Amino acid sequence: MLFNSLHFALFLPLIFILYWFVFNRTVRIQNSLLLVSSYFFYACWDYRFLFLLIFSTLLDYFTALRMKETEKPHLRKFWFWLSVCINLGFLAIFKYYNFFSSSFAQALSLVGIKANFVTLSVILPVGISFYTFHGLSYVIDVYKKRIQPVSNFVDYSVFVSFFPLLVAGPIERATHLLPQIRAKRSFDYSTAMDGMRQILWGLFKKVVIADNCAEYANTIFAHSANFSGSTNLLGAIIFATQIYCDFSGYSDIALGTARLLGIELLRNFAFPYFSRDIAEFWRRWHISLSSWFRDYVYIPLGGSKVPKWKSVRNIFIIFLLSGFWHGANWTFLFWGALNALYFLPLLLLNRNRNNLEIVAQGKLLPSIKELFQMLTTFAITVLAWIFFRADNLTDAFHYLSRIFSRSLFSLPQGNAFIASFHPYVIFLLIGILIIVEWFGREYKYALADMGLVKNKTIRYLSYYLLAMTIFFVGGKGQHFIYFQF
Amino acid sequence: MKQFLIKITLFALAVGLSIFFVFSLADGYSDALYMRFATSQKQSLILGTSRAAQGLIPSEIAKIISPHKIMNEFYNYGFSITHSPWGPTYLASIKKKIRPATKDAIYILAVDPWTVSSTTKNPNDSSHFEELDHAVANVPAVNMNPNLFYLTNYYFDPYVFILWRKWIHPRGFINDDGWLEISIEMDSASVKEREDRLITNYTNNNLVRYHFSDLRFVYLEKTIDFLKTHGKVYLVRMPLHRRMFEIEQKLMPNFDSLINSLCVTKQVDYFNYVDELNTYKFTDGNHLYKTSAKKLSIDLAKRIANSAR
Repeated sequence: MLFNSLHFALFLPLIFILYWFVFNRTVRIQNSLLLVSSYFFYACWDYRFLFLLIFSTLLDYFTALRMKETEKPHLRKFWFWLSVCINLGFLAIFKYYNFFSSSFAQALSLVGIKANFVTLSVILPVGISFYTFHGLSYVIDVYKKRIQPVSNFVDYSVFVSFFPLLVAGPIERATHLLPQIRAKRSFDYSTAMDGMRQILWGLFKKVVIADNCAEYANTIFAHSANFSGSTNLLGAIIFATQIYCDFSGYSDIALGTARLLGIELLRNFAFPYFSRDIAEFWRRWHISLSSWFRDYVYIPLGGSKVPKWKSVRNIFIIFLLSGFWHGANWTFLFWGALNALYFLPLLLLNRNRNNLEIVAQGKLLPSIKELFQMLTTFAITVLAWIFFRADNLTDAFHYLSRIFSRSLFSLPQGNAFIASFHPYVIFLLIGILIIVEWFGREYKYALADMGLVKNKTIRYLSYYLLAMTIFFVGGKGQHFIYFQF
Repeated sequence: MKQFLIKITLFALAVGLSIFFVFSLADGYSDALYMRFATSQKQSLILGTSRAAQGLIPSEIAKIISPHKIMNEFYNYGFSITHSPWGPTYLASIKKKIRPATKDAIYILAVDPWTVSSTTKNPNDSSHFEELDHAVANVPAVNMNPNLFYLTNYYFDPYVFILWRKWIHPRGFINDDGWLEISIEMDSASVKEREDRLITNYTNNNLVRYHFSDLRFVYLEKTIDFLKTHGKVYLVRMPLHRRMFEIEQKLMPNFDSLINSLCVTKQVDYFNYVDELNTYKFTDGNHLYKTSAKKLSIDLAKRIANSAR
């Protein structure tokens, strides 16, 4: 069940009505409804993997309780590592086994040893990386005694499998979400309206921008050898737009949906393409994953409060892990390493926390310097996305070499842009996106300030036009990119 | 809460009504299939794949065969090779499209080797027939306007094109009688380019993928049997380019004799146009150009009229 499907358009109002009008007597009943609807939502993808999700939930729930019950450190450690190993074990089997076995076989073949490992033909359970990280954050927090384990299984299960975040995040923290799940929730008009607005904006980004960009990006990346450098460069820029709108659009819909149910999820995007350096970019892109790695890997390793060489090592570790989290492919590892390299100069010069405030805060336009910084950061990000998008490293390097060829200075080829819409239409829509996001950059999401418009007619007419654009200009339905992770 | 629900309901209503209004404007320009599912049940039909859809004009045929009786009831219900080869899916759809009480109607079935072949590993494995993923198999009602199921599930262009194409007409257009009229550049270079592309595709891909299916042939028989309960059935093999004919000969060299035997058994007429290679103009070697479609329709109508005497 996709967020941009008719099924979800029927599912969400039904759950909303049941949640606030039928199952509203106690939190426990509301949570039971959330759990059943979340499992139903997940089973719509593949009911077989629902058992894996339930098993993972049970494992973390019981190991956390065992950790609380025992005072013996070695037993606490045992339950902790049991949970961590089984969780990561599932991830390793479903996501990484084939990658490791084929890479190992290739490595052995380099020294003349012929190895033939069994490969598993299993499909990746949707959302496994997300719910595994939910569970891990809980188990780690309980082990570190930051939180008390939850005794109510339903509450904990809702934390792991709450349907808005189940398949593509944001990756929640027990410390943030669990208290909300356990507390009584009451309907708040302005929060609900805000949620609807965020859903609308998320749909615009996903359906109108990302799905239409996908048509061009898919063509150009699939046949890059036939296109000029300028066309390939434009293809990479279009993909950068697509992945941002696809993922941040999904996150906006997830956050908006949760708000309708009275739950505030972690913010996942904060206008990352308006970043002035790569450190700022990573504070604004997929925030829930970056902060997860920061809190559970980078800081335990010493973070930046260690000798310089160790902070460099730590930065490489978290970027490589982040890359590897996305998928079992050398392209993701390279993408992670490249971002670590981008980050390195800032770290060495102690400038990685220079741009903490919002760019051009309180101003209409950025300064020339800020504009230059934003464009430079965007440019290096676009180059990194090529590795993220390519099927393998060879393809990625070929793509890059085509960009940096003499044909970079020619006009982009028209035959790369044969899709539903003329590219000018899409560029116009991207232009509108940039303007709206720029003027909304000081808020939680771009359209948040629309609620402040006093004139009701203008406000509702804008919503109506946005809804019509989503419906009539939406591209061919594409899966959310992050579902594959 | 009340205020929220009222506002959301009103907003959803405004959006929903707007969508419904635009859907109700969908017509023959919207796409090459929609109107087949959005017109009323018919008495007489032209059936087959895109060759029939583009090559046979019901209104032209009706003018000659029965100018007063079936003019508005003769409809081209041909789709494409992926949608409507002979088989259980197409037969079920045909049954939905025919007005139940119909008697004395006319059915023209365009046949060729591809329509009785399949791309499945086992050509008789109907559970994996290609058409199962398409609208013909899955749209529950074929006479609903607007057809919401089709538009929400099988209209693959952005919906703004429903409006856009009313002003900027696409190359393909489904006329009121179901005939798919294609307006395309017919200079020799363009035609040659399309021919070459088509022949290459059929030689390299389709000839390898398609295999004669006994089951499809059985369903052709079943379709004839069903249609005979409603009227008279005629089989026609559409004219086609020499190069295309050679490919079909490789796929099924005995096709004509098989159809001739079938026609004898079922006591239906068979009009074979494959020998008339130079009489008609093709857009790509496979489909007739609209002027030739008219010419063929008139000729076929005369032959049908003669055979009926």
